[in-house]
Parts: sequence; C-alpha cells; structure tokens
Amino acid sequence: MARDIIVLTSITYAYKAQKLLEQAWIKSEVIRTPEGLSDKGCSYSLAIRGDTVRAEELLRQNGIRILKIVRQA
Amino acid sequence: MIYFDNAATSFPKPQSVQVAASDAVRIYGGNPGRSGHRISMRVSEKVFGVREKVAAFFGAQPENVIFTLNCTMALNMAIKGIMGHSGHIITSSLEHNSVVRPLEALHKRAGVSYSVAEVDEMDPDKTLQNFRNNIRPDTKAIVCTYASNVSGTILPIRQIGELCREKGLFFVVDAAQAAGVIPINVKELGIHCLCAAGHKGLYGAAGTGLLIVADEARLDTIIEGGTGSNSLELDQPDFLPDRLESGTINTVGVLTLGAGLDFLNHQHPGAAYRYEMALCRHVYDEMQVMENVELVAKTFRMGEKAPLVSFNIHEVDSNQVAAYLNEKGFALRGGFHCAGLAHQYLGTLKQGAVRFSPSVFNNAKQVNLFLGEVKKIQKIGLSRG
Repeated sequence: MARDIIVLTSITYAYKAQKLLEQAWIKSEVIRTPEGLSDKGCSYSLAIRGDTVRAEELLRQNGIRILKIVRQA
Repeated sequence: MIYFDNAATSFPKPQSVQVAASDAVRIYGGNPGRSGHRISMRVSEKVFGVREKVAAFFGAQPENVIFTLNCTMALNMAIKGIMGHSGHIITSSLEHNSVVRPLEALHKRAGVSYSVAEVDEMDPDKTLQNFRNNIRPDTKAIVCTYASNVSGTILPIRQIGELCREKGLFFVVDAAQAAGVIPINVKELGIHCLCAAGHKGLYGAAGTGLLIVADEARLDTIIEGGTGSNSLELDQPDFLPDRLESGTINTVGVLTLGAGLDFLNHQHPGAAYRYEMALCRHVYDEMQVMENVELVAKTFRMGEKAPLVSFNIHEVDSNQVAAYLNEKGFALRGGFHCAGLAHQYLGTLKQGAVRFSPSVFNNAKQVNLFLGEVKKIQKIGLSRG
C-alpha cells in the first residue's frame, strides 16, 4: 500500500510527531528517510497511513518542522 | 556494609533499574537514531520514551532533554554555551567545582568575569539581595546550585528565577542534589538550563546526566559531531536535542534512568524527600546533643535543606572519621566533596566534613546503628573507638 512520507528533522521529532498523530487516530510509522528525499543527508520521516493533510496540519500546529511531504498515490 | 553516600551516587539501585541495565545490554543493542533497521529503531523508541519521561518529570518537552554523561558535563555545556567569550555571570558561595571550575576556566581563557553571591543560610531574602547586588550591565546569567552538596542548604530558586526574568538573565541551575528528591518544574521556576545527575536521586546508572534547555536559551556548542541528522552539513544542527547531543549516547545508562524515573513515579510526589529528611532529621537532632560533634548546617528544616547532614568530630580530619566508619561498616564520604568554595564559606576548610546522605533504601535501624558508632567516637575519641 502506497503511503505518504512526511520528512522531519530528526528521530526525536519523528517519534514526537508519531505520538501527536496517534492522539488524532492517525497511524504512522517512523522510518529512516528514503534516499533522495532529504537534501541535507540523514533524517527520519513518518510514513502516514491516513489523512496526510490533517497530519500536516496537526504537526504544524504543534511546531514540528516539516522538511518535505512526498505523496505516493 | 551500610551505604550512606547517596549524595555522591545512589546505591543500591532499584530492582527495576538493575533489570533495565540487563535488558539494555541483552535486548536493546543498536545505535539509536543512526540507522533504519529494526534493532536500531527498537532502541530509538525506548530512548525517546525516556526523553518523554524526563520531560514530564521536570515540566519540559522531550526535544529539550539532552542526555549527558553526568551533571558536570551538563553544567559545562550550559555555562560555556551561554557565556561564550564575554560577559559576566553570578554564582553562589556554595558551589561545587562543576560550576566553579568552568567559571574559572572561562575567566582565565576567555575573559569572562564572575562574581560570588554569598548564601545566607538563615535568610533567603538576604541571599536573593546578594545576587541582586552583584548584577552589572554586562551580566548575562546566574548559575547556582539548587541545594548545597555540603550543607544541604536549598537556595531560593523561585525568587532567583524571578530576578533573572526581571533582569533578562539566563538562569542555570545545578540540580545534582535536588533532582529526583525535590520536585522541580523548570517552566514554573523560570529555569533556562537545568543540569542534573542521572545517577543520584534519579536512580539511574553512573554515567548518566541531564541538561534540560528552554527554547529561548540557544546554547553555543562545546562538543560537535555526528547526530544522525543533517549529515551532509558541516554545521551542527540548529534543532534540539541534536544540536547538543553529539556522538553515541550511553544507551544502557539512559534506559536505567528511565527505570529510575518509573520507580520515582510510583511514589507520591515528594515522598522520597520526606522520607530521607525524616532520617536526616533524626541524625541532626541526635548529633546536636553530642558534645564533640559539630554540625555544618546551623538549622535543619523541611524545605530549607536537602537530605544530607555534614558533621565533624573533635578536630579530627573528616577523612579519618570516614575511614574509621568504613571499618565499622558504614559508607560515608569525608573530605571536601569537590566543593572548596563551599567549605571556605562554611568555615570547614581545615577539616572538610563527613557527609551522611541516605536514600529511600535506608531505614531507621541502620541510622541508629550508625549513630551508635558516632556516639562512641565522640565520647572516647578515634584511636580507642
């Protein structure tokens, strides 16, 4: 199943973001950012299973810096 | 052997901490935040869980929790990160060398100046006024201990935090003796950098420390390196905790710290403090009526002291007394406790002091056995004790 990827700065923010989305019933998986998606080198991302638009909104509201969003579908 | 040296490091550790150490070595291998495989991700999630626990415990956000190797490292990062190469900083007369030596090094190498505000054990308002009197136009920060590791005296932290807010100063607190024992909320107290040992009142393993940084305190780094983020950039990341947490962390230690926090969270807030203070109160009261025992602290009241009692017997060197007690089965620390400045102000530079510091694992029976031994020494002297 294709999943959207939200690229974040670090593993800490990835887990923080995952916890925030969990509270809104949005499931996600913390993954290492796939090759080519991170301009500055290593980072971690969330693979979203659910409403990515809502997820983005929630993360921004909570001050979590989003580096990129890659929509797979 | 009965251990009363918990102000140096707590021992024994709770059973759950021992299990966490074992699990960390057996199960949680891999390097957190460095790879994408399951073993690394498994430990990364555990480490984040500890970050969350620390944050909740001290009223912070998980990303503002920096794992260090000890409180000294945290203090160096905070003091040097704020001061850089200029300005003035105020500290107290009861500081440990983990504060005084970085200040002295900054003074000698970088042109930073510092002043010492005298702590008045009997009058917190006077202490606060002494800090206020030392503020200069170029003052950037106040750094002070939450509670002295020699006299146990608690500084008026809330009021000093308010003073810092009023004057626009950074506030760095050395909570080596307080963290885990006295409830601390960094936001409520206006603390920009809280530095703590993980291996004392928080019951983690040795080799653990914490730096909790407020968002507005953007510290310069004193250590740079790999963070598992922004790897193609030459500059250190600008986001926390990565900015201040370079190199592989002490995963085993961090997981024990998490277990230590779980242990404390299962007790009522402040229960450890009340219990340890009750043991210390008994020691203080008993020693007060012993003819040849001199107590370092002039008073011993709840809320004014951390749970430790420092004392001397006759004019005997404190290390000799501690060595004698060791022979009798009691582990206490003598000497100067890495706090020459504090001993200077407390008038104990000649002898140092013997320090009694219990934990929640001590009990009244152990304390009475110890007091019995002290009674013998103070009556008949050390050589015949």
